[in-house]
Amino acid sequence: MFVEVKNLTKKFKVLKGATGRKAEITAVENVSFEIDKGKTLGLVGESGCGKTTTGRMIVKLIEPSGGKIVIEGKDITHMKENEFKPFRRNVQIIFQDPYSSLNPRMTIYDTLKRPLRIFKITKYKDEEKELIMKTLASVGLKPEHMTRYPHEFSGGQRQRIAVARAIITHPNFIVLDEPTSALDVSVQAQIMNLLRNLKNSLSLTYLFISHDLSVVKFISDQIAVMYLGNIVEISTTDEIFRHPLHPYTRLLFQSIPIPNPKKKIKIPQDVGELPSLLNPPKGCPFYSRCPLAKKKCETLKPQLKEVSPGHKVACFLYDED
Amino acid sequence: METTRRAESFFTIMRRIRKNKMALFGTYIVLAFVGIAIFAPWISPYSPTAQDYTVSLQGPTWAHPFGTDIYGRDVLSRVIYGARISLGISFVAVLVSVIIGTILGAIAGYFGGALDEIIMRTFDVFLAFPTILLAIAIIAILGPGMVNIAIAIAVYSIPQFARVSRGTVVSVKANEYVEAARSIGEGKWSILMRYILPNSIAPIIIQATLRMATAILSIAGLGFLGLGVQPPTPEWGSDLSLAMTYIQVAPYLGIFPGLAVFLVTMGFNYFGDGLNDALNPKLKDR
Amino acid sequence: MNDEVILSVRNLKIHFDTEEGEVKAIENVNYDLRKNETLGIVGETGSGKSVSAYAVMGLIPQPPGRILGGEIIFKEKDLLKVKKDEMRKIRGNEIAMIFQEPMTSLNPVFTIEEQMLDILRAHGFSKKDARLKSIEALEKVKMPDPKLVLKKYPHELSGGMRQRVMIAMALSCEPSLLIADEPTTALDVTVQAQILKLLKRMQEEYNMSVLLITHDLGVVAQNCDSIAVMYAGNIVEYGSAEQIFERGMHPYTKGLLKAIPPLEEKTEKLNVIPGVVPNLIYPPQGCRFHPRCGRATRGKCDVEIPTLEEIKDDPGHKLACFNPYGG
Repeated sequence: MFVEVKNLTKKFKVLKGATGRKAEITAVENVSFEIDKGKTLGLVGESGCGKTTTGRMIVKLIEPSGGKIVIEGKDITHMKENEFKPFRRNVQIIFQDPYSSLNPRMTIYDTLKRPLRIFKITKYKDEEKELIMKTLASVGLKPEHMTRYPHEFSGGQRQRIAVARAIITHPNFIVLDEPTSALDVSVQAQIMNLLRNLKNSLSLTYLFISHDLSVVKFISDQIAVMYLGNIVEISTTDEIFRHPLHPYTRLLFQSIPIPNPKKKIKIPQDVGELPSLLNPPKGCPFYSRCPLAKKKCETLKPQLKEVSPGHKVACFLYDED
Repeated sequence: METTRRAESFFTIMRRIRKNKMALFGTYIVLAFVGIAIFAPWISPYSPTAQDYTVSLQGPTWAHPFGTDIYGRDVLSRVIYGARISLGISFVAVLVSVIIGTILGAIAGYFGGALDEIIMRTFDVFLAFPTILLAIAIIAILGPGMVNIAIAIAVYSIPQFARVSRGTVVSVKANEYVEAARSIGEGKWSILMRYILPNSIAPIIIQATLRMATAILSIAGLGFLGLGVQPPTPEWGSDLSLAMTYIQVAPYLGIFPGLAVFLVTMGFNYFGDGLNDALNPKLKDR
Repeated sequence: MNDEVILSVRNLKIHFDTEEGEVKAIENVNYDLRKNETLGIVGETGSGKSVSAYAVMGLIPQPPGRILGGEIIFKEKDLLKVKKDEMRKIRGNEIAMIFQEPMTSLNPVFTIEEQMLDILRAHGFSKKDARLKSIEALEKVKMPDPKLVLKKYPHELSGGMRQRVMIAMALSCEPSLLIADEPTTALDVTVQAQILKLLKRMQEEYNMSVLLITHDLGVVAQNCDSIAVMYAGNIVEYGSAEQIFERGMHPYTKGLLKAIPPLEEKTEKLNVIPGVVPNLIYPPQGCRFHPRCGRATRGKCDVEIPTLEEIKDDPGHKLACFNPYGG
């Protein structure tokens, strides 16, 4: 097991309304999963479900409020920044918006040399330059791109630069936070192929966060579906696509517009929208939108339970008790 | 966020300024005065302090195009050398306040919390006083003189720069590249110096240009009140004050130093506004 | 659907003057929209899909935009030639538009009620009627609790709710043409499905024609009768949904369809269109797609500009390509 997350929780303090009353929201609640070495876990959900917060907690950009994060057998949950620093080399993150994730005042060379200097990876300038050129080539960029600034590149090229920055320290684990959702379809395909090739050639482990099921399906071995801060279903990619169990997973699958005019999707009756995190449902988080909700769903919260080998779901429909 | 998205090249900015007539006008005035200040010893026809009582209080002539004052000093030469004093003191004062103000503001904005409160509330106290009163108070304590004037101007300018820099840093801090920097293990100071400050300089440069104008006005104001640069050093404000004494016999005496103050202040204001438009093109009506 | 054409765009050409140079955003765009039809204009960033729609609304800022030629015939009137006042009337009564981010077109300092009443009163309703009408409009878009929603400010509503309000406002004057510019791009997929379903129902109820602009091939496949595929300022392929998705012949259409990760089967590698979208200040000579096209022939595709022409034996299916698939 390479990455293990147990009961991870994040609460944020927010100001509520015009009066500025303090309130607390639970962005991530008791999230647990494991990722094996060389595998990819896809984390799927809609905006506000806590998938991004989960990703940032794992690379320690956000401090968790509770739970445990174990990477390569070491508990990193409460490490101080200087203790965690050696891990940063192994644990990288790629962000959604390549227009804001690169420093506009740094050339590509400067952007890529920073991790090398920080972790003292190369000794000499020649060595540094060679490694930067090699890394750029591996993401499909040319040596002459080194001296340019981010604004001279297209979105897809910038995301390649961000990938280069993430892999230049030879990490084992990368969190990808919606890496293609700011890109056009044809460019998305280029980046997805690149990410998949890198995963194989560098034997990387991924946590792939996205709202787009088709993209997640392409790259993931396992998929976890999040809703309102909770994982509601988790299984292997094949299994979850063949037998989606949770009513939310089903709604999600049914809502995807399929690019085939002959296969019209059947949208269930209006199911409303996400409840506010400031005023979450008491029982099952999906209660307010669930077409199959029962009485006890309103007050009791179903726990994630294994219903078949490797397939866990948090729903009373599959709970015999 | 939009404004930090592109690192504007020097040439792009110059091209935008060239399209903006008022900004271009301001730029020319500023450049002209900077040129005059630098080359003062070569272009001024006389020494600014040389007295010649044979030509005392003369109107403009070919020999003295701006006339002469009560001591027979050449007004043109005094206006030329005056540019040196005004621009020199302003430049030093603004430079010092940019450096100190920007760094303190950036620290407040970047680290936040109690440090932010302490720094910014202290500056709020300074900002509560009218600038010229603050300057007069400081001169009253330190005494007049070029260095003390520069200090006085810097003291009231630092809080302004701190404010601008804090605001910019807080917004730049929210960019994903700052998080990306943390994720590759950059330290706090490195993030501030390499990622945040370089992306915060545009508003500070604009502010500095506009501050030059106020600084020049303050110097002239202090000079006029007799609290500034002391005679016989050529300074526009004190020359204006002298001219006022003889306004009935020689009304032209005040025109040229006054015009100089007016022009250079206007120049810096137009230049600063133009720079603002050039660096934030989307704010401009097209 | 019947054959009455209500909107006809002919040889539209729009350029923009920017600091870097003249962006040749729309080169030659032609399409017809029939009564009750939904036409999807699909393309990637910089294809010009939105510009062409803004032109129909008379919303191209000039300068920097320059409409260099063409006609936009709406109900026998050339919208490029009508006076500003008349255009404003057409915009309110006969053509309505909804945008990607409703927040940008709703005024944050007024309640929904104030904004809806404003529009309705401008169209001659009395205050009382306008109020009834606005509640009715919100009910039509399946807004839960319309009376409560009327009292709210835009920021108090969720993205999906705001889009429903926008649709209610757009349809309150019963336009015959609705332009929807990426109406669901900012929404979550479950909400998107509901909004698209709503649009479909509204179209049937009001006998509207809809111009749906999107980058999402899934959305056009599910919602459009006809589809225009745009690339770098030109329509490269045009036809019914079936013609495009099943018999698509343009290398760009084909490439785009194959670049979507499939939901139904497993893939190891996605099809890629090499290169990037051209800079439209310096568009490629000849066919603008030729530098990225695997089928381009030298001396032909890089010299001559292909025009959109109907394919023999496939009525209604138009193509701008010298070397199409299956051709």
